Amino acid sequence: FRGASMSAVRDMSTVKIVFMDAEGATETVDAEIGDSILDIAHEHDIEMEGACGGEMACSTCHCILDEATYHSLPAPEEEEEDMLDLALGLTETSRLGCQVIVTKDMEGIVIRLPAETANMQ
Amino acid sequence: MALRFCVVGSGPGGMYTAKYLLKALGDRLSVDVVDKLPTAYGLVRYGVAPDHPEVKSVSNDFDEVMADERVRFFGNVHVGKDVSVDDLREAYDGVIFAYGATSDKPLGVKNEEGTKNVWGARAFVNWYNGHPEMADVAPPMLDHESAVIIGQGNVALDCARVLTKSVDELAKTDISRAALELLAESKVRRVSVIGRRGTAQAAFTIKELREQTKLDGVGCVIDKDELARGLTAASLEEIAGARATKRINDLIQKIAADSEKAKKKERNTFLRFLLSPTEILRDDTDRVSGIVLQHNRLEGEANAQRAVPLEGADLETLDCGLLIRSIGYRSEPIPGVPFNDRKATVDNDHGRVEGVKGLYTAGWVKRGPSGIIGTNITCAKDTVDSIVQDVESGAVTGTGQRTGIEPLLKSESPIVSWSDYERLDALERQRGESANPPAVREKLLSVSSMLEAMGLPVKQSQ
Ligand SMILES: Cc1cc2nc3c(=O)[nH]c(=O)nc-3n(C[C@H](O)[C@H](O)[C@H](O)COP(=O)(O)OP(=O)(O)OC[C@H]3O[C@@H](n4cnc5c(N)ncnc54)[C@H](O)[C@@H]3O)c2cc1C
Ligand code: FES
Repeated sequence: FRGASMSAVRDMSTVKIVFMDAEGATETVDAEIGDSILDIAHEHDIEMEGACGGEMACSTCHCILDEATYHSLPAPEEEEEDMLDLALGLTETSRLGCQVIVTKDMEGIVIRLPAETANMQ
Repeated sequence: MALRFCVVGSGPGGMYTAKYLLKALGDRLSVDVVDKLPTAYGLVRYGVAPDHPEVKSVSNDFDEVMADERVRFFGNVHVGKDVSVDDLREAYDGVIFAYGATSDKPLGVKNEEGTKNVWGARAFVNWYNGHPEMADVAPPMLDHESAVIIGQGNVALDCARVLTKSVDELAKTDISRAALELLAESKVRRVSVIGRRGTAQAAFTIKELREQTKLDGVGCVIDKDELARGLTAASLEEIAGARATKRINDLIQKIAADSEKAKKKERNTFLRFLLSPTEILRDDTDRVSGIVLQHNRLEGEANAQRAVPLEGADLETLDCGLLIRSIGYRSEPIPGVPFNDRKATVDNDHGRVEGVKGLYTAGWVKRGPSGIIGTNITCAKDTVDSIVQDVESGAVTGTGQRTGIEPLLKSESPIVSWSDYERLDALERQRGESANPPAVREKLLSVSSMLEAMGLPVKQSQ
């Protein structure tokens, strides 16, 4: 955990979320409610690319949610699904990080980053 | 000792390599990015379709790299012409070749050479994107109702879309104004996009296909019989096996089902399958008048199906006044860099140029002309990993003796710096803003007009 942010008094406008890379290494960050997962990742130097800057035109912000969180969110739009089709290592609970907005219900969730391998075709 | 690196080519391959190299080697590094054009970012400017500004926003990331004080831009410098690879090896501790693909693959059918209005997709795309290579080339003739595109990748769909989309829509983009004027007069009503194999094997992606079905005034047509013939047991297995193929198949089924209605639209795109060109027909002015196609069937196992001629089927002739072949871009060698002619890539192992210390490669010239912009990220990281290993092992060291490119450049042709380019960029945006209707950008269409706009001396040869 970073610094002493686990103190008793917590800013109510943030939740803690955990990023886990393909090797299983984790980093817990304070995520501002209302920001996208991509915003949060960039703010905390997490290795999530987001090449198009959230325009739904690149799929490099692909991330994997846990099942419960995935199903608690509104289903992705057709446009997002179309972009996800190009993402490598796609799973049933994959989303584009730029399209998922942090809510207060996300306290403690783990967001997995896909492996980058085999993307060389 | 500080390391001096040179990146040849400022497209996504080169820019992502620069970005990750800076991240990995930090303060020990300076990077010069060299491009033969006065403009940066390669196919982001001259490939990606003008009506896809959201894709071009990847350049925001590249702008940050260019603004980094460890990075310099040298535009209008053609490696292999203005400077040799040997010179660059002397001037830098490491050189990364990311010069993309500067030609395209021929069909190899009769009359391909010497027939007028037969275009490689690369030249056609360069034309509507205002590439300076096209400044003195006669533009495509759009005075015939029917156009044919051979190939079914996203580039083929880009061409089909530009040919059918409403000119009012295109006018708002950064499309070449010269191209826009011709498109406004275009008589093209039918665009046939031809694939060798079936619907399940087409290379385009769903986003681009869906877009073609949503264009105003344009119907997208798929023949039910052709669809059915491509859906062999092996094809069905392919579709069931991959989410992307399955989703695109659903869309294709829907397009086929709606095709009768779509045909009534003002303009049409016909997606045709299981057809191979055998001969280009020409009229007495040597202009293309049609294409002869052979019907195919699929043979082989799932994910390895081939198109073979359909026994007993007649040849089909499609009339057309414009033919575009879109079966792939192709990289060309630069003297001094080992090149694999068969694969048309620089010979390399994880981005290390085979047999030459300190030379690396990234992007299309490293792995071949496919994949999306994001593919270049993984590709660049792979090359950067190799460089970092070589620096750590001492195979590549900063000698402190490297001069960089400046002393090598002859004074005849001006070098474009990043601030020169920024002036051009601002001017083009401003010209776009004051156009009617306002556009994202109005590109300057020749090297000489660009240099002039930057306030640089223009030589006759430009
Ligand atoms: C028509 C088209 C549309 C596309 N649309 C999309 C899209 O919508 N979305 C998407 O994700 N991807 C798209 N792509 C793919 C994407 O553009 C490529 O993946 C990417 O540009 C490859 O990067 P690169 O750096 O290898 O090559 P390039 O982008 O071609 O860059 C190479 C650079 O090297 C320079 N150069 C060449 N020779 C020399 C030399 N001798 N000396 C110095 N400089 C030199 C060139 O001027 C150029 O700037 C498209 C590709 C094409 C062709
Ligand atoms: S950042 Fe490009 S799709 Fe999300």
